[in-house]
Amino acid sequence: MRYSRAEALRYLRAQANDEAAGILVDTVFLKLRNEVQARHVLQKHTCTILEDGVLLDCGVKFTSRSLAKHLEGCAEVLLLAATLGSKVDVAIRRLALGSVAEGAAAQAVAACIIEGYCDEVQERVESTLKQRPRFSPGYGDWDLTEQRKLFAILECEKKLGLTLTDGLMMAPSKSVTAVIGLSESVACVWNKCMECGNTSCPYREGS
Amino acid sequence: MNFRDLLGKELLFFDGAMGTMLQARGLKPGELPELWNFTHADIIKEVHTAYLKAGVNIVKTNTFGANRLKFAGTDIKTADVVAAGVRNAKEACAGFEKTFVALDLGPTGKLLAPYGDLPFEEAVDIYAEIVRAGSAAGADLVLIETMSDTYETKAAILAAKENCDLPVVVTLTFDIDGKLLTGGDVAAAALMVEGLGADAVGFNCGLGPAQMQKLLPQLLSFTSLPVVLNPNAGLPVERGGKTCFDVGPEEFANLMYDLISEGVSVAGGCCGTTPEHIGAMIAKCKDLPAGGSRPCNITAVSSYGKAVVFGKEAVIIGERINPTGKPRLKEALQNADFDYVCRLGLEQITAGSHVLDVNVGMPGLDEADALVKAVLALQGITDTPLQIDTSNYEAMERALRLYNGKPMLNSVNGTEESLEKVLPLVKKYGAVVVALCLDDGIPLDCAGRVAIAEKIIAKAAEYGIDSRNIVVDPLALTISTGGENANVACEVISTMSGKGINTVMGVSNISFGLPGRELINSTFFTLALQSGLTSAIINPQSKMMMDAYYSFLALSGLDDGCKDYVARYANAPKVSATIVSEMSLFDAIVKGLIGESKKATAVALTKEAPLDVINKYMIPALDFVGAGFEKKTLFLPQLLMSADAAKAAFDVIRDSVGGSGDANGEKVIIATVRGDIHDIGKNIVKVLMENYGYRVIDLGKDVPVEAVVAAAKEHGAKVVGLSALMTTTVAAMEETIEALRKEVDCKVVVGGAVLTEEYAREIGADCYAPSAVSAVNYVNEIFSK
Repeated sequence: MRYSRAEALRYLRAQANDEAAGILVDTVFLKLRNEVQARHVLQKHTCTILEDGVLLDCGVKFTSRSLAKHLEGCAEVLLLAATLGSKVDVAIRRLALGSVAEGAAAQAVAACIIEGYCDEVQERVESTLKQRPRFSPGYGDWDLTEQRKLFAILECEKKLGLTLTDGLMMAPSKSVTAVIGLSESVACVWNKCMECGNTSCPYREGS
Repeated sequence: MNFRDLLGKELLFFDGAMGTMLQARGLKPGELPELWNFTHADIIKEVHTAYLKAGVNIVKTNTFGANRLKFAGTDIKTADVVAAGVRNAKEACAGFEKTFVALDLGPTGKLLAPYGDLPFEEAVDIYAEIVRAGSAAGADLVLIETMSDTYETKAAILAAKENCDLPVVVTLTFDIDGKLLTGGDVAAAALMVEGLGADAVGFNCGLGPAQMQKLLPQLLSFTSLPVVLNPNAGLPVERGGKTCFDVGPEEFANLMYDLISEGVSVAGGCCGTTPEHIGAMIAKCKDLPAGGSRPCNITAVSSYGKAVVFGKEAVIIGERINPTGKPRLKEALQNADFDYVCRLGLEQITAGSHVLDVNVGMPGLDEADALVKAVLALQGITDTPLQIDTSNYEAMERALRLYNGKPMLNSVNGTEESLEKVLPLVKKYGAVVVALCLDDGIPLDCAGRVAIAEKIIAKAAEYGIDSRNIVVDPLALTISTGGENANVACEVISTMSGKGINTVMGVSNISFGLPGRELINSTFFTLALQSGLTSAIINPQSKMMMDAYYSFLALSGLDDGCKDYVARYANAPKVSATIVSEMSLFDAIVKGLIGESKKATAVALTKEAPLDVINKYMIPALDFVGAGFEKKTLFLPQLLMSADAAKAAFDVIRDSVGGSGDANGEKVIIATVRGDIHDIGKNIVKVLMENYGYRVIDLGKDVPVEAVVAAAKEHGAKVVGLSALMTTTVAAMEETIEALRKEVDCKVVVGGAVLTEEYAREIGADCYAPSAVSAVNYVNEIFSK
């Protein structure tokens, strides 16, 4: 299981040299790691990039200009869904009850673990093509309701026990869905923070 | 001939995959296969027929995902889809002998609350609609399959049992480590399923035959029910971005031959299996006998995550969630502060409890409502099984129903009323029940108590409750009024133990009215353990009780090589009795040191009044940290650690004044709005506000508009804090504010990741709080603190 203290500290909005916070996230990682039941589904599809979105070989169209721009030059995409399972959510609630600091650190550590897990899954994909950064519903102008399309194609409920609430949140909460473009070269060097419309986001990087 | 006549008596065969077959015939990814019951009925029947020709006895209807959630927003009626599915299967079966139609129920596609947002009873209702339609259309059995969550499985079984008389078969999907998606293991799930009255239990999907073989022994040992296996054609393999199953028909048949021989009663297939796989299996295995049911003598309770088995090391049942003599818990229950109840639970788990007793009965409280909330709160934070402890029958039924697992119930006694009211509930919800050796009175001798225990066991048998699901409480009466009381209790324990019946006892009653109670209690505990006591209701935070327990385990050979004992006691630190603190409370809070903060508070309380300690040290420290956070000289982790340290100080103060620390604080209502299940931000705000002495009424997450309005009215709160994390849920925030404006005169402060100052103004909030500190500052302003 991949875990980076530096990443966890960034999610926790701590200073990189904050020793007490470093101990906090490390401690929480030890309490959390046995609760992780990471799973994923991954599918490869060929696609056609349109002006206002992306058409997959299975007939489903994702409508988003940002996504289309992000996937420019890609003839194939990977669709990915991954989750750490609901035990992690239960553990985060449990830790938060005892200590708000541990609760917040657990959120940060779990976010870090799911991102690392997605990286690992992607690294195992055997392909001569290069992978673009993950792009998820909610990024740019890609409407969150399109999450339902990804869920239907990947059968997230059945395969992962990953579900959507009426408010389109993922449950278990420590989960990721994404589209990953495949192309000869990583033509698009994409900074997801600078593309995002939420300019007041505390996690915004590179501003 | 019906299904029950054959189940477990001769080997029966399920069909294989439907989805795989439909995809091969043009079903698109993301398309709802159930609609093919209308649009492609011929293809559906063709698939059924292909399996029937291969020799199967049971075909699954094409209704796996047919539920009202899937068809929301269309004019498709679930009942019609289900009826069409059953009709197609029945028509296909015509002309084949010894065949049955299984009404197929899959997962709803939603995660149940509190893990997701689907309320338990709504899940029951969703399944009930399918069951009614399917049984009316003539299904022969109900198959609940591909379940990966015990809670949803329970909802489906209850729906089936409450809406038809058909046999119910349940198959769950485990991963290669033997875990459900929600974390449960084979034992926990099998215990619950059998308790709820299913006719057969087993595995499907997720794994191939080889992987299921590793999990099969556990299943066979934890259930007496006939076992069903519907594996995939091997583990799914990702190849070129597509999912493939590599086990071919011959190999599948060979693997299934071995599995069936271990005691399986019904076998078939799931993803990747075809009529060829199933046909090869039937050709190879058709002459094998069915495994049938097996005797199972395990007494165990379970949660969504794990099982606790009685009979080896005594099971410790933590007794502290009980308001009798606990003013702080009483206050928490009156204020619906279930976080406090959860903390009491967590402390006991840390101290060594295997099960938690939950009793919330007190005058002036709606016990059923409080018990349900306590059970839901506890099972949202721990997988330690719960013992539902109440004499209120309504509370009992509601808590048993919403419990996620095989519950323990405290208790039934030998009176006619208790037997008639409690035993049907024990049967329906598959509980392990505590049987008190009393009826109209408590017999003073062993023979009298054993006679009552036997009466209860016999009566339970009439209701179909196995004696392994009864745990006898001999009753510890205080030795201060009867010198033989301890001996009698121990004698009852050893008598029941001799009959193979498990026992449980509230140990501490033995010393009622005496000084030095822990000494008597712990010695009596050892005597009871030596007599064969298999579970004890005690305070696990009593060092003497746990010392007695661990030393007994070492002495009785239950602690192999005394490893646990050595680990626990070899390097035990010497506890210093005097409290010395070198740090001021102010510094301890600013530095976020919980231990120091507690000590400094205790020291401060020896010199100053509680209110002075709060106003002179705590509040200034919190202000200091809050200001640093706003100026960005301090960051989120320090703020939170300080909040924890202040909270610890506050707890010491509350305990010193007997629990009523903040009863007079100004009330603030906080909630995460409807549709939103993320509550970390709200919880941080709550802790900070409580540290400032506010009485925070926390309505939780996913809170309906009306509930916020009702609470604001009821409490006459001046401030309501609302949190929403997603753009999709800010709409609910706006609605909530609008509704509050119509009926209540209060200020509304809002926060959440996607909100901005401007956005907050647009939806009508009085204040936008970009951080927890700013929310507290605003509330302080309102109350001009």
